[in-house]
Amino acid sequence: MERNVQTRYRMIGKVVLRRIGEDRLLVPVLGAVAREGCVFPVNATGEFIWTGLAKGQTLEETAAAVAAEFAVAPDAARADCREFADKLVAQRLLEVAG
Amino acid sequence: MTGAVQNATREWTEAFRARAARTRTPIAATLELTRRCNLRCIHCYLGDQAAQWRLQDRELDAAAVQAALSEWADAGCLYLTLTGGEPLLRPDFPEIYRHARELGLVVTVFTNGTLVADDIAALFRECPPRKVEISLYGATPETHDAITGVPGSHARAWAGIRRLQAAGVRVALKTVLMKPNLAEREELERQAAAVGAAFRHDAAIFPCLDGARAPLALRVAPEEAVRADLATAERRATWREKIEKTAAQPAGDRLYACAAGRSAFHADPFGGLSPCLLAGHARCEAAGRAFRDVWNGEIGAIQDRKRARTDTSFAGDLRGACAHCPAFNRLETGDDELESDYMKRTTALRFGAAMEMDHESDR
Repeated sequence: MERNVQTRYRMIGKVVLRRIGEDRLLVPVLGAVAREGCVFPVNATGEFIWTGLAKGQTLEETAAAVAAEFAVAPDAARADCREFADKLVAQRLLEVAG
Repeated sequence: MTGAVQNATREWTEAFRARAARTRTPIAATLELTRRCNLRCIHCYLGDQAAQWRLQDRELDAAAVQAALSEWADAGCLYLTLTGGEPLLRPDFPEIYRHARELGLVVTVFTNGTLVADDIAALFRECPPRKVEISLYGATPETHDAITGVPGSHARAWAGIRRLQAAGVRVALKTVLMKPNLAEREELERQAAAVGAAFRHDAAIFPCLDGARAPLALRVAPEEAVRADLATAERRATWREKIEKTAAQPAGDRLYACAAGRSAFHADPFGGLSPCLLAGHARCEAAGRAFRDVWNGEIGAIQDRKRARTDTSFAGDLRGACAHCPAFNRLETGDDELESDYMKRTTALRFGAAMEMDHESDR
């Protein structure tokens, strides 16, 4: 499905975000990826974007929050969010919502 | 800015474990849900099963286990092994298991496979464990059932394996190598490969936790144990790598040079915690106490212990080939640092065999 700045996503199955010391991990609990026993380390920016997208924010809303949180230009934040969302979709952690 | 999104690599996992050891974060736990079992294996370290069944009323209930799991996750636990006894004997296994997964714990289940009914396969299909490890003690029903003491257990274990695989669950098979099944190890390995399951064996047999020594009579000769350990090029390479890597590092003076009490711990069915399954001598009662207090107190104390002897496999050139540990020693000899002759000989043979093969490969 095509995505644009108004695209919203939803989790595939269930994915738990874990913080262990300085590490942040996405742990799939339900669904096909969980069956493969994978865990996905992410950095602080990745964690922030994941949290926004997983709770149903649009790419634009998430990018605005990233720009504010990490003091980056809106265009850069938008590009990062789009790129990261694509990676999450490729790993079957998120899918574009309806 | 966001980096890659990919499954944790081996390098990342090693670095994560090293960080956990450095910061004393309890990332790995084994949880015995029960010490009861429906089999009566002749080598089992839990000893008299009638005694274990009498303790059933002392096992923590599901709510208490779930509360403990939540505390462990808060403290940083990621890897959880659910074991027994036979963990699937507990009717509340599904709710405990599901809670663990919902906390984001990566769960491995150890089972004998005989109680894997359709409801368990369905649970694991929906909410998958990282893997289920099933113990098989023989390539034939005769051998397996003679070791487990329960006729039909081999057939039931295989039915469980097939049920799990049909549900898409990752299954690994393993065996404890002992005199009655030594001749069947290779066939067991072939059977595992035939169904696409990983396989491993372990020749380590130790006394029962209550001190009974009957299982020791089942040990294969050190020569046989080493032959099996080094049977394939992959295993030889693994041992050589371990020996060389260990030799390159200073021996250090810690008695417990492992993860026990540093980044790993063990929980028994009754609310007790210890640095590892074998270190029952360091068990402490955790019921009613905050996990972090126990972890930072009694459990961590084992890591403060220093080696006193310099004439053991741990201390010398052979230490990379040493496959046992102080808790193992204590069970067998009563002294953390005192190896049995059996273990000493096994270590020496393993070192010699691995290095001899190393020289051959150099030619």
